[in-house]
Amino acid sequence: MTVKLECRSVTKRFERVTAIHDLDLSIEAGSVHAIVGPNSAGKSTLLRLVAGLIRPSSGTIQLMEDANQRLPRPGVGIHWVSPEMQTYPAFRVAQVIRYARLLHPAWDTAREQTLVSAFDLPQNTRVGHLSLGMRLKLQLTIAFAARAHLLLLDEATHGLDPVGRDQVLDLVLQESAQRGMTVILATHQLADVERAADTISVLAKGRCVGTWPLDELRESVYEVSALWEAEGEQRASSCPGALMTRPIGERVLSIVYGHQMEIETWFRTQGATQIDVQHAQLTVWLESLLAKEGAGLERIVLS
Amino acid sequence: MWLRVDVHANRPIYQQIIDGIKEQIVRGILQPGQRLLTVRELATTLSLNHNTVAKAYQILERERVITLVRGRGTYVAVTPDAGDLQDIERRTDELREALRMWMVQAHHLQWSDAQMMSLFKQLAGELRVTATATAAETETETETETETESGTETETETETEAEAEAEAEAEAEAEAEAAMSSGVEPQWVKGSDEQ
Repeated sequence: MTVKLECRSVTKRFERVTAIHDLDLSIEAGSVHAIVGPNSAGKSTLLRLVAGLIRPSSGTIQLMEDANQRLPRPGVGIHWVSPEMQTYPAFRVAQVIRYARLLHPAWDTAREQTLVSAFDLPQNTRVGHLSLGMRLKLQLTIAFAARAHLLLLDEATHGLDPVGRDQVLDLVLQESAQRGMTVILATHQLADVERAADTISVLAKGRCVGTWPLDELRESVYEVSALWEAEGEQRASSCPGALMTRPIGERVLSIVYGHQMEIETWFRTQGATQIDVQHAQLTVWLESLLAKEGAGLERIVLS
Repeated sequence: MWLRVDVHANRPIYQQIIDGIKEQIVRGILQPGQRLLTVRELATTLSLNHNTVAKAYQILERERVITLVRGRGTYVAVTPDAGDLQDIERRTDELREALRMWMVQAHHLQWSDAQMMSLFKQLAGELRVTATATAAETETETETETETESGTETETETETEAEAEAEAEAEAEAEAEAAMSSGVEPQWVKGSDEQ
């Protein structure tokens, strides 16, 4: 079974803040979808909404099995993995797993044993005494052994060492390839996204800035450096698809989304010279996009 | 089946997979008719997103590099067929553009056309060495297999094939040499000048 997600005009207000503002998002069944954005962009709130842990103030969130069929029972097969998740602190690891085994009908004991030994989970330790990384590994063990249909990973690789991080991403990719599990991955580490995700949405200030296939971004974001006679910054910023423009020495650097030839032609016809068009890194793209949305990070200067 | 993929590179991952498979076919690591890993298997082996691998396979199939046999798997295409006309045109343009960039590089290295040609031949030779070595291996295999049935026939066939191949190769070499010594530019250089 594969699960498709459809969010329509979702708004979530807490007492004084609007965490999610009129958000539309559609995630294909069987895809690994990354949600990136700065702190307090609304990533965690969105994942909690999808998990059904909180309800939207307005709008609808629909999880559909395959094409159009609604899920038989809401919440079944959805696993939310987050450092914020509290399991029973007084339970020992083995007890939590035993409890989960009773709770989930599709539980796979062979998988459970593989994961417990691969992650080196200390069976007799109380959950409250586990490190952050171990707590995440316990949650992942439960999600994979329960054969999750939709996996929501909220910064789930952050407490992990690099080897553990690769292990987890590899597991996610295997499950996605072999069982068509849908994955939503909220993170601000683009390194995770680059390997695992096929589509990416950017959240800023509770709004969805856009959704792109990752391969399209790799092909379509360019760093353009050019010489202008006058008002270079202003003129370069009017280029279609321009995300960011700033002067560097006598040249002007632009980050532009589009086709290489079209970008080059546009700059030439506008009178720029010595035009150099190069592919830009994903991090450069994200920084520029967030700056454009007014959610960029200002440089902090200590006096 | 192993491909080197750099997830941090600017080149899209699906493109890296396409290029990797194409190169392995040229080098004879992958043989015509050989079964490829399924999308899921390759995604799992390389620890990549399966949709990305699926996209690479779709494009390879469109370019007739691989053949999808429903219910049976994916195979390296047996018949050499470059795909539909529009696709061939686009890829030819890309190849010409790439060669043009090389010529620019060569100019700045102060290389002569002849030097460029000899490097070109050397690289083609290197690719062919691996390809013929693997091809020879499989040829002897088939020979021993078929000998029990009708040994003489297959032998003569492979001989004529090998002869024809050697002839074609010699011809191509002679042509290239003649082009270089007479100072006539080979066609692919001419094409780039027109642009």
